[in-house]
Amino acid sequence: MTELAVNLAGLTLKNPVMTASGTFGFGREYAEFYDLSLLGAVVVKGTTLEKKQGNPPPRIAESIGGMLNSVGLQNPGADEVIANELPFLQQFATIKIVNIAGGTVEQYRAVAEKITASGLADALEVNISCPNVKAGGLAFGTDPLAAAEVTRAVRAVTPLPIILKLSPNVTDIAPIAKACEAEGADGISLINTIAGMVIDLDNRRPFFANKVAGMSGPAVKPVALRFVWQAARAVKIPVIGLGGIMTGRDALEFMLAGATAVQIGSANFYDPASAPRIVREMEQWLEEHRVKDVKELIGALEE
Amino acid sequence: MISERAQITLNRQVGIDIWQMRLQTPQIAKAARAGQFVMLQCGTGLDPFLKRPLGIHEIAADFGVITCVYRVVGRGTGLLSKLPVGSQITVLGPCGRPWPQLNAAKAVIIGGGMGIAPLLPLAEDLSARGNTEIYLGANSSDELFALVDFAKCGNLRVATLDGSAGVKGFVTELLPTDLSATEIFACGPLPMMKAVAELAARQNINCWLSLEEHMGCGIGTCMGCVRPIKENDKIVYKRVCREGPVFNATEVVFDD
Repeated sequence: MTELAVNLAGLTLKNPVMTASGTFGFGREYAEFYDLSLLGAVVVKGTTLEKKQGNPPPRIAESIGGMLNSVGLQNPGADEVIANELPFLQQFATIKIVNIAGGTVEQYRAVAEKITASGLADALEVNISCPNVKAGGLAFGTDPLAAAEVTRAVRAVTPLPIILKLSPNVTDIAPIAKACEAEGADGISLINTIAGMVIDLDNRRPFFANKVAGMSGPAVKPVALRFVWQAARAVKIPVIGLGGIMTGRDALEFMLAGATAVQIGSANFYDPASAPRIVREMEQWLEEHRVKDVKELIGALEE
Repeated sequence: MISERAQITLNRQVGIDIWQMRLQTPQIAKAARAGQFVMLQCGTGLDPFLKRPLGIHEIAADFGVITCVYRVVGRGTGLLSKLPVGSQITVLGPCGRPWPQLNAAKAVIIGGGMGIAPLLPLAEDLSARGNTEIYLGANSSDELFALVDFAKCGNLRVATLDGSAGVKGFVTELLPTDLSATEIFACGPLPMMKAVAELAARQNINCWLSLEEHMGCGIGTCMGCVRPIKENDKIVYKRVCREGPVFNATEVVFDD
């Protein structure tokens, strides 16, 4: 029997596979395809203090081996999420992680307080890396001092484990990861989407109203692996790897690079049953290679 | 909703840039209702990455097949048209809300261009009740399809812009001046649906419109296919794939 469980910030995940925020809604749609209890954890849609309308369409474009999105954190707001979305997830035996976002440090603090008080989340993922909102978002994730400030503010109001979701749109990830760790983050997850652009040649215009959008999908995997590897060398807290994971092999590569767990993002759009398939594929590879415990692979890259 | 590996049993050109595809999807065919759509994988691997939404044109639950009619407009549908009979693709569906039940004495079905496709299962459902008026329009006769099928379901009239089939002009010009005691079901280009919505509003009759939008996932999680929709005097973004594709005409915002 292969051991798939991993420990993450005091939580035990039955396997290292979680869903990536922004690709999973609040779980309802995927529950039509599989039992969410098959996953190590689910991370739900970025939740803000107030309801957020999101960006005007178009919001999605395809690229070779992936896609770009400019959704802009459309969500019903913390109160609605607590009242109508999170209760649904409680029937599943999996770790529930709520992704939170804000335009100001005060908003991050307030939404963290609300979600914590609801008792419906096992951990918080703090999104300081959304490239699709004007205020906050990415601005907090590209500066170590700002990242530290958000981490400190959220840390002060919640006993739940906090995971800071980091952006690849930086020159050096190490100082940002370290700043989060120093302020009490229990983990970091990366990468959020890569800032990209689509141009509508015939109309000579940017395709997205926001001009810049976030790129994801299998095409970004090598970039994501590099960031995870660098971040894992910079901090001692667990790193959650994401970016273009489509298969069990992809997921295990992230673990070798230093990830304790992985998130499945755009693959959910390619195949709604990707996440449990990836769990099975990981298990199969481990069995074939006679690895008894998946934890043996974490950071075990032979360099 | 179901994700099903489907064998292509027919994929042929039926007009200029218009193709018809038949898929063996026993589970989806059984679950599908008139007005719903499917998401089709347009290749055999990771590229193209996203599936394409296509309205369901024929539902043959007894035979485990559905048919879609699509226009080749870009890379995805271009690749779709090149998939040989016998090949397998992943199909997700049935997606979205079906057409609602008829709630008036008489149904008026209005289709324009590729919007004709998802109206056939509705026309078939309503044909048993009789008394269905069907109006179909296109640029030219070579963009019209399924006319014989529609004619079996009700009283069919056709318009083309170039006059190559039916009456020359817009399909909306065929509509009777008095639409009282009817309910409208329409799918087509936005200008057509806007004209239909205005007509329905003037005569105070119920009107349903099936919208089209670029989609990422088709199941409601990517938030990519939203359109501005009126809700309690406010305008909010709703997902065409989940809250739609069928909306009441009074909810739809055309000025964007």
